[in-house]
Amino acid sequence: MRISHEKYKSRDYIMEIVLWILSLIILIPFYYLAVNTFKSPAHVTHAPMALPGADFSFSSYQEAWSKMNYPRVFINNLIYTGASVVLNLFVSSMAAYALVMKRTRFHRFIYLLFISSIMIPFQMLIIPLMRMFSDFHMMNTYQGVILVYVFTNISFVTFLYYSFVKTIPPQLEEAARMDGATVMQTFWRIYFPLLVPVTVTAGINLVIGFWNDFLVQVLFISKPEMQNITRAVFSNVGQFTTDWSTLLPMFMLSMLPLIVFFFFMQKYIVKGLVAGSVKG
Amino acid sequence: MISAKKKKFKSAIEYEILLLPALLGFAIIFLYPAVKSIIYSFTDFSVFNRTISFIGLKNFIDIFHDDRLTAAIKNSTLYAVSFTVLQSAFAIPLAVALDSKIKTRNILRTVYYMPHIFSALIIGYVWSFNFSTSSFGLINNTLKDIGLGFLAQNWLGDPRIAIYSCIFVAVWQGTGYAMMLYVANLQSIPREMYESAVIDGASPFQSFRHITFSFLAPAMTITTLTGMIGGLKVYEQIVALTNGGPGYATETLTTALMYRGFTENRYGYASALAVIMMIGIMIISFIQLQILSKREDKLL
Repeated sequence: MRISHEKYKSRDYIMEIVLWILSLIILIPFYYLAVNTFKSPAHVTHAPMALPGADFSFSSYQEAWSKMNYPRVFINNLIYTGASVVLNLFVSSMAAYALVMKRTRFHRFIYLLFISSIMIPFQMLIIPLMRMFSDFHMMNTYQGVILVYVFTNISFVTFLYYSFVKTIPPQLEEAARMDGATVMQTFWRIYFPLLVPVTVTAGINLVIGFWNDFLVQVLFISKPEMQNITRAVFSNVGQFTTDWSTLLPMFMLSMLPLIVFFFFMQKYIVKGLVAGSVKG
Repeated sequence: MISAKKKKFKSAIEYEILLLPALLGFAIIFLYPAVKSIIYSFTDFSVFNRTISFIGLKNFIDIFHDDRLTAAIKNSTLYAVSFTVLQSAFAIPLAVALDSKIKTRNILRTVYYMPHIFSALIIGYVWSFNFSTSSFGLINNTLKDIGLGFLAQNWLGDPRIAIYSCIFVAVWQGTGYAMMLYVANLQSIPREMYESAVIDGASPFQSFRHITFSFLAPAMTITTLTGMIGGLKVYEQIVALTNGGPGYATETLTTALMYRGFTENRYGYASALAVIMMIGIMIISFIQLQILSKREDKLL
């Protein structure tokens, strides 16, 4: 028994070493990106793998920061993402609650409509939305982009809430209503707090999705001062195609907020993956 | 009695008020444009034709005689299938390895998962730097350093291999995500299953095939479904790496749609391509769900 135990252990060590070696496939590109943002352009060309030496500086960051107007696009990202996530979660949770509680044929039809729309790609909406938005002067506006974010992701989030509300015993609602609470009060005071797990899971997924968005931005936003971070990087690549020494810090600057977000939310991100995918 | 009735009516209204914002927004921002796209797809609507006329199925027929679009259909299919297969092929062994008692498994899981949270556009740019044929191209440099210099390629400029380079980047970015789903799924497999398999004299391979692989059905459903749909929709990664080139070598459904729709302003024609894309996604999802849910049913 002791022998087999030791054997198992050494196999674990080998496995661990192999996995760390394999992880270099992920780590080296990030190292390569990071290390070249602190070097002079000439050093990047001659010794790209080397650590920065005497030429270590933040000057390429300063240049990238001002060229992409980082503070501005960062705030834009906060506005787009923040408003869209909050609105989406409110609208979806309310709808899911109504759809679970009311089971008329009309409500069942709406539910089916939401579910089946998950399979319709956003690409189906692009051309008519562009026409609509230019007719109603919604191009280059925050509200235009936010509306698209909110309502092109509503069916999926409603579906998540729906599955969760269904697991709550209906007696809870009946009891609240008996005590004289209105539908609104029952939802906001009793049900919404219970839905926190879904709110967190869906919220995190939406944050990452909206924060990184490019397609909606490229369709509806052209003004530099309205762009989000990803869109701003795209505009700059177009202008300085081969000037990697300015572009690499831009990539880093666009990744940094996500790394911070991931660091603080890691526990929930992993939990959300589990809850959202494998119901067992 | 009247007040009770009134109260009931009031609460019925309140439910509809809860539903209203979702319904209204969905109808205007989603349903209406989707239906409009279907209508456009049967017309010659473009920036040059101010009068729109119905032309039946002409757009759909033309698509299959359009080199750019047939290349897009072919490439997107190849991309989606290869990505989906490779993603799970790497993620399942990785998940099994990271489900063991390894001490640093949480850090390792994070490392593998990390690329997934970043924008595909940015990851695409990072890799176009790595794939560069200039003196700083990471891949070609590494190949030279380990004595495999003859394998160095023009990874994104050679039309024969550009699409595979794109698939590689997608797998690089997406494997960790799939691994996380599989790890979560593995934790739901009862340990006794393996113990009794050992008692019955099953080899490690047999117990992997009959226990691990079959129990992974739920995670496999979600991974392959999102993989196929995401693969068919791919856009920003291609924009960053090749922008559809060289020639039409990496043209995908969405890059082609953007080109026909907004570079050339042929709205009806581009809408027809969107409709084909939607039909493709629906058929694939339907078939996959049929096959995979049968596998999941077997579990019960």
